[in-house]
Amino acid sequence: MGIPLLEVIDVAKIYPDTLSLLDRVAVDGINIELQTGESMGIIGQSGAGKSTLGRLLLGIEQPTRGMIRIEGKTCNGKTLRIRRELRQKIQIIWQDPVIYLNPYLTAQESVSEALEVSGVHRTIRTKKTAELFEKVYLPLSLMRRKPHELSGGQAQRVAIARALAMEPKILICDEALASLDLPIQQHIIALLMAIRQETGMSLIFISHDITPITRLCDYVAVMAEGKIVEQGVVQKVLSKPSHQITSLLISCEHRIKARQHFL
Amino acid sequence: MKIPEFRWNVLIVSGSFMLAILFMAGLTAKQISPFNPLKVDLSQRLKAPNEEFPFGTDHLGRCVFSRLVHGAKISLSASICATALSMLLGIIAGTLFGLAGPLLTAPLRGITDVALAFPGLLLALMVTGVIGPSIIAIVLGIALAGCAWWTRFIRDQILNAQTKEFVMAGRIVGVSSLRLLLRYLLPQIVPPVLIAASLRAGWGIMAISALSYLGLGVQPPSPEWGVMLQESRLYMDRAPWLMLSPGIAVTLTVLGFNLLAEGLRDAFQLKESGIF
Amino acid sequence: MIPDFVMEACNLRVITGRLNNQIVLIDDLSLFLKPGEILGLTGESGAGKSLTALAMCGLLLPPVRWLKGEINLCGKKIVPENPKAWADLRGKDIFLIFQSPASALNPNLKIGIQIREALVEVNGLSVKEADKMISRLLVGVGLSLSAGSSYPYQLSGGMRQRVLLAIAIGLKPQVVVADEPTSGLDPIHQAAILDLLKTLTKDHGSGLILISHDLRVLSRMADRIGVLHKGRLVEVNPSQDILQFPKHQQTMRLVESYNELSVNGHTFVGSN
Repeated sequence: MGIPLLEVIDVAKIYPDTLSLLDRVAVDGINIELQTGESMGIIGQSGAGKSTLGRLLLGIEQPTRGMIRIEGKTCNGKTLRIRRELRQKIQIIWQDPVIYLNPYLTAQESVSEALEVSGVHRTIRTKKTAELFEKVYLPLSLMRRKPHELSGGQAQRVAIARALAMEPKILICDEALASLDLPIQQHIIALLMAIRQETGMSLIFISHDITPITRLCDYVAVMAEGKIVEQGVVQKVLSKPSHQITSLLISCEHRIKARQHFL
Repeated sequence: MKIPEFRWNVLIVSGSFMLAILFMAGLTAKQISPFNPLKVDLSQRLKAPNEEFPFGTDHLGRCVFSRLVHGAKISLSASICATALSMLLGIIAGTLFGLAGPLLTAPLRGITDVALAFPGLLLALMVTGVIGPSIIAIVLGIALAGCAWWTRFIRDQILNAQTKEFVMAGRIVGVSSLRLLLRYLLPQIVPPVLIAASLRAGWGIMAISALSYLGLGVQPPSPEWGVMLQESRLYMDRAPWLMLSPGIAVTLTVLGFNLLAEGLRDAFQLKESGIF
Repeated sequence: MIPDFVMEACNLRVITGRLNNQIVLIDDLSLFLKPGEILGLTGESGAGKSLTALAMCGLLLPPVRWLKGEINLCGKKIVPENPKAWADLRGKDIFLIFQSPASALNPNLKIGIQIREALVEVNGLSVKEADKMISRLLVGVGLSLSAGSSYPYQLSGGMRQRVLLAIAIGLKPQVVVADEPTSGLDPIHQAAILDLLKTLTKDHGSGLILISHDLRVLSRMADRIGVLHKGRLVEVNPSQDILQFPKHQQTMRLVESYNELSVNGHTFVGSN
């Protein structure tokens, strides 16, 4: 096996609190290793540090301690401004696509802007944009719409197309389904599955909904209070949880969302 | 983020209607004024408003109406030039300060704070004092006086604009700095800048009249509103229309700008934003 | 005598826009609610779910307004011509739990004081009686007693939602309308909030209108489910029928995704 796609070694993020002098530990001692093409789900209660971990991976924030490497390249100290090369490798989609898309740009401009950044020549950008729209099953008639003229599901597809324009190796999905209707969630999951199959892209799927993780991910990590308390192959962790937080999450999920069997 | 839909309202319509009339009057001053505003006719001194002189005549027998419409041209153009100039300087400086990292924040805030503590009118006075009283001097003086305010204002707007989620998303994709500024940040600050410009233009009208009244701006015999007010001082009891006409003109213009600003604030739905 | 229905709505129509450009947001919506019953309302985003919740509590904000129909709340009739009637009923007979509990709590007042205020004003308890009840209510919803002396911003979203439930349980309204009460919460909080809502209906006999885009949640909670589509209630049936024999096309779509996305009993061996 070659260089792992993503290595997270003992990463911690501590926010100093000058008022109470008690530092807030958001993420603590995280270790993750992911090979090319493998996907990982991250579950946990709210406040467990899932989203902070995502922000650290993207370089929006810098870890207080530890090391993040993507394809062997160290990310430490590389802020958003200077990580040109790394940006191409890791992208993200969020819970609320409408507020993360530029309201002054049309869907087409948003996608073609990302193509421009990744160095696609002007002459083929329009064609490429159309291809990306097709890939995420967006009708071309929506190209000229602005984000607030799109539905939640459509906007999320634009966000995915924009991320795909960068041809990333890793796509972080931070609660990417949480604000969507159930049928739309199902479509987005199918879309992400298809993209994974086609491009071999890795997903890091942050969610407190366990069901999509069983569909999309190979591994799952359970976070609690900033630490990963359990990680392993999805089926194994979910069927034989060893940490009490995991069993609690699963049983609650089960209680809310298990299919009703009528007699 | 949703861009609020622009909603027309009564305030915008009435404000811009008032300003439109004043602008038209100023632009067509030559055509609509019955007399040359500088023509002295001592036989027609201090005539009350009548058919020949709709707003009466002043102590030198000049037509007040003609002077008023010519004054509109001077006041409006000077105020708008001054506002545009200080806005432009403010946008450039404010944007630079807003984009500069936290290192520069403290010294820059110090500079703008000191400049803001200086009364704007006093600064304008100093400029006219240095280069001598003239229309150019007051335009420059008022523009300079507004610079600190504009810089601070634009900087705050740019800082606020940068906190938006989609701006961060743009950074993650790696959009170039120029594009980030032009397509992500500046469009956000257009509505507050328009409102501020309208308010500041109103303030400019008052400042120009005040400086001219003090004899530091436009010089007699130019038909400027502040000059007219100054000249009417001595004849207040005998010819009150001399003072009333420029006074009302200044009031209406400032009111027009303020109504427009108020209307724009409602139209862009910025009332709850706490900026104004 | 126990009334058959705690709430009945007939032919509601809610519109927005000016006279010459009216847009109908909710049309011809009729439903009823029995004591102790949970009625689930679902539909796509934009189908009018939240508007229905607001209309039921008389909380529509202009330019959106209630044009036609009548609501019968615990034997009191309310018509669009007399919207002031709501003021006496809100809190006492009908209680709304919002999607974002932050906006329903006063940020400047401690939690305990807010609960006390509600109990004193609506239930007419003395301050002493109310204070006694507060600790019981807080414990009942799984909060520690110290929560009473904290401000809303010091609590997490799930905890704030519990506070609202504590108020609801204290006021014992006849009808509770809960609009996406668990959205954005993690499964552990979600399960707890849903359990509390269930307790509220089963123990106090309140009727609950539970609005959620998540059919999985409704299938576990509701006795009957109504499906909204473009402002109309296209189907209302017992939950079992909705899930097994959906009639309307929109319902079928929802049920299909429900089947796809539900936790399959076999995947999670050892849970439960």
